[in-house]
Amino acid sequence: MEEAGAYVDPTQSYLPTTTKARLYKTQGFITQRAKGYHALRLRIPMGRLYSEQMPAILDVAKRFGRGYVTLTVRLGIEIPWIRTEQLEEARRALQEAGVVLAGCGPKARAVHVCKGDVCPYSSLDVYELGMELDRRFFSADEPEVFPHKLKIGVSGCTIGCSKPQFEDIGIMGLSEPGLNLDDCNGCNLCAEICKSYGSVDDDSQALTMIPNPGGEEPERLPVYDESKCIYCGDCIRICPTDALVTKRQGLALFLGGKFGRHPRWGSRVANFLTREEVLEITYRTLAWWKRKGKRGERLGQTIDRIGLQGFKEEVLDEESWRERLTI
Amino acid sequence: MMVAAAVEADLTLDTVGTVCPTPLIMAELKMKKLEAGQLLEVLADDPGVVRDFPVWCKNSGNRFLKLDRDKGCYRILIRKG
Repeated sequence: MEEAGAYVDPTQSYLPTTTKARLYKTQGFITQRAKGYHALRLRIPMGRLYSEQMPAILDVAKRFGRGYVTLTVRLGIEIPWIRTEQLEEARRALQEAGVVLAGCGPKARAVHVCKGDVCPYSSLDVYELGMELDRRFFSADEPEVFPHKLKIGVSGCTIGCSKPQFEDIGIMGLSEPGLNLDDCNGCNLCAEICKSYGSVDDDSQALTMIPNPGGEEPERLPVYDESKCIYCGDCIRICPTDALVTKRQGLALFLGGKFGRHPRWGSRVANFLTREEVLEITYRTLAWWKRKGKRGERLGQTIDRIGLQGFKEEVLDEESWRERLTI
Repeated sequence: MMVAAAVEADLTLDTVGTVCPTPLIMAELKMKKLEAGQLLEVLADDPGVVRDFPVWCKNSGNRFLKLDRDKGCYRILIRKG
């Protein structure tokens, strides 16, 4: 067996352009640069790897691979260095432990979520929404075919740890503060924590303190400028007297984000959508993309080619969400 | 905006130069020297205190009164519960 980590001469590499290699990729056997080897890409929904699954994965890595697994950007696991003739046996061993493979191709990929199921900053049930989208698109035995790959991501708050701005469909939790000035003690924590400004030199924030126009106590009060607010919810969390509370929670939606050779920032189409509205818009957008998209074109490229306003007229024409649109 | 230190603290704790969790630990120790209702003033330059101190106050039953910042230096006022 070759030494793990041995340098592979790139001039000897083997590009997976053959029909066979493409077929392998769609099944989750990712052909490596080194000829005759493949990485198994495992399906780990929401990045939750269960204890019962671990022994089989580690066993396959040891028996067929090189004794290690690697973690993927979309919270998956790959087992590299599996020889072509061992692929089926390895796949079956994993399947017996309830682990199936995830493939490449013009279909949905693993839904990318943040740790918003446990993180104190999250304002939505990230796991539940992620699983709903996963059930609908990623886990199907006969996956729906799209013009190109489809990447969906969910983040519980504006910190955006799962980078929803760079997903085809990106969902992000928002929290809008409401002020109960009667309960304010003028402590200044909200104005201090407010990070609505874009750069360290800019001090124009959504929350600022002014001298109390009414009287002595408290000496100062917060003023809220919603036009500057990024809806991160930090002020709500830090207020020691509940003078700032959550007035409204909802979801922001980004469409057409991507990375790769030509990164595209997702178009932020709306703020404070409900979970049902996000799902509705997602299904409509994908149906539109299937109709209008060219093969090999990412959603963002289709939107750019046809135009955001054209897309808006065809997909986002509902009266009820018109005032929450940001395009 | 800063407000003038109109209220005189019973004890001042200078944690400038230290980083989380040291300011908290120092404050916890200093608090033992105060009686209920007395005021502790904490000076710090670690931005982490903005989040740490309100949470600590809530958990320890002390009242977080105010926070002021002058460039990078914070002044926090707490009333012992």
